[in-house]
Amino acid sequence: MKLLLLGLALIWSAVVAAEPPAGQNEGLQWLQRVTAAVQKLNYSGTFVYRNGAHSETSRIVHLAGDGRQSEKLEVLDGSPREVIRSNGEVRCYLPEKHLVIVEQRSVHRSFPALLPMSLARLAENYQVRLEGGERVAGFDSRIVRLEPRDAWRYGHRFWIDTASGLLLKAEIFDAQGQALESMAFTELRLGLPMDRAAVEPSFAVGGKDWQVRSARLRDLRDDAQWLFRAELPGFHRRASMRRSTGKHGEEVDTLHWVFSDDLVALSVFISPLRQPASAGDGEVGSMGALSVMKRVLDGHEVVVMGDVPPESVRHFATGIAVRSK
Amino acid sequence: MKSESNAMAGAAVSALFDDELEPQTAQVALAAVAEALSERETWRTYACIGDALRGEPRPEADLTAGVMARLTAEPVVLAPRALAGRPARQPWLALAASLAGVAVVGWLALAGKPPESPLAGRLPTGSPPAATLAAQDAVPPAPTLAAAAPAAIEADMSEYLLAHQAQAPTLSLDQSTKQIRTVAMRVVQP
Repeated sequence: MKLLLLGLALIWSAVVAAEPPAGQNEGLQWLQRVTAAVQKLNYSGTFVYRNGAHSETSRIVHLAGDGRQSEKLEVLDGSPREVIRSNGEVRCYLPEKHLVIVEQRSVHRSFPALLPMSLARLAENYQVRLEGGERVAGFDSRIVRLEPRDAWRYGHRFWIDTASGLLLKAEIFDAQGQALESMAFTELRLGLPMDRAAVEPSFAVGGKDWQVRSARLRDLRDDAQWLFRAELPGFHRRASMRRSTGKHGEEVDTLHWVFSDDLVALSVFISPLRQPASAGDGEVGSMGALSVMKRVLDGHEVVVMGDVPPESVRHFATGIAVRSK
Repeated sequence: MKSESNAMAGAAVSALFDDELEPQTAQVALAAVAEALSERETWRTYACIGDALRGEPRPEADLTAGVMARLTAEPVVLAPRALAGRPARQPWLALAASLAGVAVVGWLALAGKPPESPLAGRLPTGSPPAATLAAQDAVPPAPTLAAAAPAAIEADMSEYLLAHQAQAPTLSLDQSTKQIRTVAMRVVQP
């Protein structure tokens, strides 16, 4: 009898859970449009990145018309930094430091596009709803709000162009509803002619002054040595790779795992300890919505970073252990 | 039966705190502590009692849970006599303003500092001599390499952030805009 009642209760709760709240499906459809829009539109514009009291203005050109996506982002404030993306490779130019950091095409094909499948799973961790509209950079937008279902993650708001589906503004907010970080177009032009020169880097990287940091990525198959004992609800392992870099004049292998709740990610980097443990070992730091924690574990440096509250990073990082031999 | 073994473990933990156990026995008791949640509670309770008896101020209550979680998460060398008082906690990553108005991440990296046991400064002075907890042999000795230059740490962090964002399935304005963080990040030594 008890079992029967329990069974009925389970069925009832499943029925209740299956009933999507008003606006959820519509909200998810809007997010779906964002993914599609960025894959087919050409645009250029100016956008502002805000992080607490700091803000930076950048210029962006995005070309996607020929099936390939290329982008150029130039920071207009401070030192003239650039982000170039072409053929799935992302390059960050930091001229002040004479440094170029290159991230190659992911070994995993599904990244970085947000897939329809994962969109459907979003509702498990976030309450998705529409929040009316607003004008952003001269475009009418719909606002989709993703309220976290627990305290392990932050909330998100997306302003989506009603005509094209392009994301005009994105904001991450904390439990108090306070914006931690935002990115918004202040000026936007859609439908550019295909001009490859517009997405070329402004810097000629050559000579001995420039340091190029580029990792060779390989699938990580044998990672049984490391245990992730503290789970973050809703976060699943999405990728694991081995990054080989010529850091500090020597080949160094860094292991990289990506966990995600289908909206944000949490990364774990484990590399052999190359420097004395810092006083910050075990402290959690943050920059906008990004939380980072560093630990020293069994002769390795463990760095956990994610777009989640500091407590989540601390919880996850503390649960990392070495498997007993 | 279960409560009886709990009581025995409790007595062992109590003796451990009073420095009444042989190193061999202490090791067994410590392993037991790491095993079971009830023992962890016992440990905390006895630590509280010990502190109260010695008139020592308790560290912040919420730290205890974190410390106990770490106890199970990693091998820890318990060598209380070698552990001096923990220096004041300093944030290693904090926001600060730069002249350019760029988001700045401060990473405090001090040279030559040995890795600290999370129990440092929280163990009563009368604890047993060095005993190893968990299956691992020991935490490796403090590396003697020269401290990496802040620029190198910064480059490491930028590389990690770039990789984190590039390999993650995130909804953003587009791929490049989320990398604004990578080029906006600054690591400074306060």
